Amino acid sequence: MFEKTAALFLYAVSPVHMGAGQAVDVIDNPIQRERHTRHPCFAGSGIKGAVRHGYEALGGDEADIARLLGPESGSSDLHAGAVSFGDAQMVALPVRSLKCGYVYATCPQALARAQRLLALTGKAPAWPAVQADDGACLIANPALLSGDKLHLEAFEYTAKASEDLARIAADIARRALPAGDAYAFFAGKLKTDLVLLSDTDFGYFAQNAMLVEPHVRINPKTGTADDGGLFYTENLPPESLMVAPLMASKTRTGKPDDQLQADEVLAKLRPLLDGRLLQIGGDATTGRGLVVAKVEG
Amino acid sequence: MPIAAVPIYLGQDFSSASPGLRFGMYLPLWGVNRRTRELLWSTSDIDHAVRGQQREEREIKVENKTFALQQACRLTAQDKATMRALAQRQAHAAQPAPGMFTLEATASAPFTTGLGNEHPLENGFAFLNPYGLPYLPGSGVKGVLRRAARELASGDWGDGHGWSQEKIHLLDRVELSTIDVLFGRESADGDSEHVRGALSFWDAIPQIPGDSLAVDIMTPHQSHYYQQRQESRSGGSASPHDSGAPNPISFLTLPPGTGFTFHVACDAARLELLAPDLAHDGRWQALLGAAFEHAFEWLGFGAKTAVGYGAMQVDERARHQRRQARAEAEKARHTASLSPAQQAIEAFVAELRAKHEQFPAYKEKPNAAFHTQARALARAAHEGADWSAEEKRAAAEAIETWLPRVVQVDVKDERKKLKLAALKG
Repeated sequence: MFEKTAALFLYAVSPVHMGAGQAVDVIDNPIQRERHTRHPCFAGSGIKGAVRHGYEALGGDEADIARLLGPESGSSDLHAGAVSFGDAQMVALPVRSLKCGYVYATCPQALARAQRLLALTGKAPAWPAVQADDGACLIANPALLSGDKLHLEAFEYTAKASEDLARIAADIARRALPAGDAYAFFAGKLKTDLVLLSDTDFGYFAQNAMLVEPHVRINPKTGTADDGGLFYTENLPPESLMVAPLMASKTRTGKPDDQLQADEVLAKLRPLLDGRLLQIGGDATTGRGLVVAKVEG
Repeated sequence: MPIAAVPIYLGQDFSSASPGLRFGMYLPLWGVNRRTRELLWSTSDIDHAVRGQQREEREIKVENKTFALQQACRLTAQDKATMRALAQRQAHAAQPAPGMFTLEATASAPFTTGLGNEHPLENGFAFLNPYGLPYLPGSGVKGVLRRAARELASGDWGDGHGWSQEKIHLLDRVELSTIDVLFGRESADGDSEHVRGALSFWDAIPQIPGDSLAVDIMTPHQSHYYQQRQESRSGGSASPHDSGAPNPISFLTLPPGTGFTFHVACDAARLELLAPDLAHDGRWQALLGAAFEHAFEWLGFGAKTAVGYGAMQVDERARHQRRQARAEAEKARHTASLSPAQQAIEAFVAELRAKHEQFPAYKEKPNAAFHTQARALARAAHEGADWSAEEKRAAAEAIETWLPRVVQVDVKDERKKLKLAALKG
């Protein structure tokens, strides 16, 4: 039984490739998506594996790995881990905009799911209910508009200014990004440039507004691109914001003398994650998958 | 005026969009007949001008490619702020990690990359979404450095700076060279002995001086020969000759002077496992530094490196500043780890030493500034409740050593007056 729940915000600072492993489309290496919403997601197992891999580099004690995250398979001393990472779901997605570079798009569905998750941590956000019809949007920053229209890529949305959305944006920016000068620009932008689209319109961008990078393989002998070496890799774009549940129980090693309570487990994990840079997903050696983590609750 | 092929509700003013969006989606490339406003869907406008011996009005073609690119490549204030914020965030993320290698460089030639991406103007460009700003992907950095390491290891360039192709490291019966350890082992198809390298190469976000990218033009004169076309305008011959039809092709570049900061993260635990000898004494950093310098000088980053694009040089000033900042941070950390008493002694010694080193022959008169400081330090040591015996002795020794060097006093007198013997215990 998990007794403590926190929310783990993951903010991408480089393209992130959590691969789906199979392709049926023009993209050779697609990313993981939720079956029902088609929003990009990070499987909890991928996050947990990344944390385990980087545990010592993040400053953790090697002796804690087994009792917190579970023993290696095949270990003679099998027991459950004390930490569970859930799947990360989409909160906000950067979408290219005619004005101000890009906006952070979100939708009622994504906000409601994030709110539900945050409520589990005991720090429920008091976000007012917000709605947008298809083809319409709520905005907080009038500088994004041409007249009363918002233009994202080649699409047009009728915009309405919303105080409620501004409050939600400020709350998300405060919860999801570390403090400090290095993040001030992006926290400020998230605060002003959050845009609420309808679930359908957001779904279009969540499906299509990904970062697709072409790759070639250079043959070291000829120095030219290898035949069949051109492939396309899909990435979640940088500046995407995801949130995952992080749950803790007391340690279950079966040794009563070194048992940690759930809040002690969380306290051990928090400094390794909060405000830290993690690497998750594939293509690590070419700088993919850098996310800044923030633990809420 | 040419137009962009976009829905009519977007209008035709894209001056506030990012360069990537202007280049990729809102490119004002498509020609119109300037008199009739008819859309032509070619890349040139039709204008009218009086030409020829008869001084008659004729239709003339105005090519839009260069104009469109120039429209695309301006950076707004917002773009520049984003560009700087990205670099700042990267530097911050790289700073606390011990296994980081950072190198600042300045492009000494134009830089371009992503020319193979699809685009109506033949050559694309690598813009990073969602910002629409140029970037050099980590995979591009890694590829060039692996090549640099291979060249250095080949021995053809004299000193290999420690790179070699010898398989000197062993992992579960897989033999690895230094290059394999740092960049990963490329195994043949069907081979299962893959080994991941210890280094991760981050994307570089070019810091563009001024407020625009640049447009360069290449003009192949012999395209009829390269493509084996027999056309009347190039003489109906597919052999190379001097009367081919030159074909100007414009493409985007970043101007010389553009700054690049390369961040390379090292998985220390992994390196320790694969090659323990490289993990210490800055060995891997030295290897990497040599590979970077070789790449800057001989290989270049991005595209068109065979004609000199992508050459860079180490930004010595930035490197110096970074070293200084690191030394200062080190010093601040050292100071913070000292007790107030130790800090007082260190400050006293530092000041007197500085004076003595600057003017070795000069000595201050008694009862002036330094003398007063020494008395204050002695008094603090005598009266301070939180001074340990060790610290009191250190204070006495500091006064004995340094006071006579900068003030005209007799050591024996001072010893008595300041009761240094009591301090020493």
